Amino acid sequence: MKMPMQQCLVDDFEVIDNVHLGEGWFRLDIEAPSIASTARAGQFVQVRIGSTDDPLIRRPFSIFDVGPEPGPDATMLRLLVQRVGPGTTAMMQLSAGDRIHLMGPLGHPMPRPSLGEDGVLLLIGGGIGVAPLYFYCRELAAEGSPLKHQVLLGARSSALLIGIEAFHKIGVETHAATDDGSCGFHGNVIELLEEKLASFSDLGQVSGIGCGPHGMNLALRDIAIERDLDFSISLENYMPCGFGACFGCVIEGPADQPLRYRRVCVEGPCFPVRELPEKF
Amino acid sequence: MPASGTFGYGEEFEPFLPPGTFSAIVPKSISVEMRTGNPPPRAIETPSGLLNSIGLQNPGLDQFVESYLPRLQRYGVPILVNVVGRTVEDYCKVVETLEGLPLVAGFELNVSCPNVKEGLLFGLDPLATSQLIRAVRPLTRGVLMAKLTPNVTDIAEQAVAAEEAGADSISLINTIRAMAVDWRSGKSRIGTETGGLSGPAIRPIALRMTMEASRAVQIPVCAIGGICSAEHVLEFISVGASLVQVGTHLYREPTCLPQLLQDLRCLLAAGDFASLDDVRGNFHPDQDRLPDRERQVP
Ligand SMILES: Cc1cc2nc3c(=O)[nH]c(=O)nc-3n(C[C@H](O)[C@H](O)[C@H](O)COP(=O)(O)OP(=O)(O)OC[C@H]3O[C@@H](n4cnc5c(N)ncnc54)[C@H](O)[C@@H]3O)c2cc1C
Ligand SMILES: Cc1cc2nc3c(=O)[nH]c(=O)nc-3n(C[C@H](O)[C@H](O)[C@H](O)COP(=O)(O)O)c2cc1C
Ligand code: FES
Repeated sequence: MKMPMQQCLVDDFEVIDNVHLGEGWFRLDIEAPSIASTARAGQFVQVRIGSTDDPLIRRPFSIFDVGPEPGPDATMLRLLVQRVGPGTTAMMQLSAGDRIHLMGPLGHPMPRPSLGEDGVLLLIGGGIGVAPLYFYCRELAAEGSPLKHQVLLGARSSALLIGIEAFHKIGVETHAATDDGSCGFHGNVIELLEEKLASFSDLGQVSGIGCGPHGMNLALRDIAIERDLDFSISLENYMPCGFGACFGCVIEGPADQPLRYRRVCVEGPCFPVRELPEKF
Repeated sequence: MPASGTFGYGEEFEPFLPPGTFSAIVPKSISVEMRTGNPPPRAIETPSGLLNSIGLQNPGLDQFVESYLPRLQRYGVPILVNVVGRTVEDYCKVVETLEGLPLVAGFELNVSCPNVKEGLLFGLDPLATSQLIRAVRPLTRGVLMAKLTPNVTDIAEQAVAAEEAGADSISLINTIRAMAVDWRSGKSRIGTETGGLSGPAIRPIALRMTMEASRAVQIPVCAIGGICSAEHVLEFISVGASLVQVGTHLYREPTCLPQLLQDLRCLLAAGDFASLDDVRGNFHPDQDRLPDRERQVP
């Protein structure tokens, strides 16, 4: 899975906007042409938080969108962030005109499954996992890709289904699942997926990419393995460096091969389910 | 130069800057046999520090020679191969195999990794350290550097043992044995019970040990531990270091070394020092404490 070497930038960029979306979620718009113009969906950036030693290590964030359109002319980089700790709290306080120090783009793009005319690609997002899936849809649209795709989003309540509007706006068929039933399907996104899968007569024509909390990712892997589905999952392991130097972000390789730890940051972050161990 | 284990095998830095930029490169530790490393999670951030339990994951000697070394050689800079082993014979095997190969300038013997039992066995006992170095010494005409562990009561004793056994230089410190606990689950927050702490949090300890080691030996001391800036480099030089390695800081600023060198020159010039030699060892234990007005306001 070696890719041609992609130039990676480490630089300081200007924050153009910080849009607070409620529930501790916010979107950072950053003028970063050198990263935006080469970034692909599924890749991420490492953000340096402040200039002191605490927090020490950069924080990884998927690229949520680039603008105006994905491709070599893109200048704007967007991140969708959920506040969970000191790093994301500091990012939430950034405002237009502030500088942000980024490293990227890092990691491999999400795969493009080759499906027949009747094929459907399901994009399954849980919580903040919607971020890379949105960029993926934007890329497909910009390329005029004929790949049929639908988005399944899960969250605890409707207030957290922040991405859904955005997907509707770009005309992507999107289904929601909320734990409390306040929006769409009453249940979790995995149950919604099961229902969806039941509606397909030929599962060989269904492909999927998932990105969500750890529990969702585990469940998704189990379903896909059980039914022999061509699915991939994007992982969010703790990443000290993000570019392959530390061997700190590893997962076990598949169970049927000799034990080998693989680096999520450079070999992923998206892996085909058959390459994932039972527990990861 | 970069510190072992924080530089991968060089190619990881290619997207950022040509590894040829460095004065020397120190790849991650190599052992005779391939090592899978420790189970995840392997790292967690602690206040101004990084706690890791990588467990010396590495491709093993054969694979290193076949695929990694040729890539490292392409960079055209001297390679200081960091070696780890379970037995004296293991270390010897790696050194013998790599001795004399193009750009292999020498060996840094890691007798100090806290994340696997056997590394520390050598590093904790001056006699074992000394036996190891005596065994390896005749096998190489290159630089032989012994990388010491901070997990001892008397670092000077270790340094002297390395010097007497024929090491050309010593490097210190490796990571400090430490732990992080989740009290709710009663579990370690990394995959092993304890791990190794690195980063700015350990810099004051590294500084103290560099001073103690430098006083005890004549051979050059290479300082490692939490170095992030030219100021830090000069602090270590002041207590006696001749060289430095940058580790954890490379994770957040992989392109920092050229800038750091430039800053060094500026700082020396601004302080009216002609060269690093003027700063080296200028720290005096009995000198009056800095008067208050000359103290830098942090
Ligand atoms: C490839 C990748 C892409 C990511 N994309 C996004 C994104 O688009 N938007 C977003 O909001 N977040 C994303 N994350 C997660 C984000 O990196 C973490 O939320 C962030 O590092 C937390 O930093 P903090 O200092 O605020 O919190 P910390 O104090 O570091 O952590 C607070 C809590 O978050 C958990 N946490 C820390 N790091 C991670 C992590 N890497 N993954 C999951 N949980 C973590 C901790 O266990 C802790 O419970 C991504 C992570 C990875 C590895
Ligand atoms: C993730 C990680 C992996 C490391 N792996 C090695 C290794 O393989 N061999 C070695 O001799 N030292 C290893 N070290 C130790 C460093 O080389 C260095 O001695 C230590 O991190 C202190 O320096 P720093 O604070 O600048 O990081 C590792 C350190 C870290 C953080
Ligand atoms: S985060 Fe360092 S190797 Fe992946």
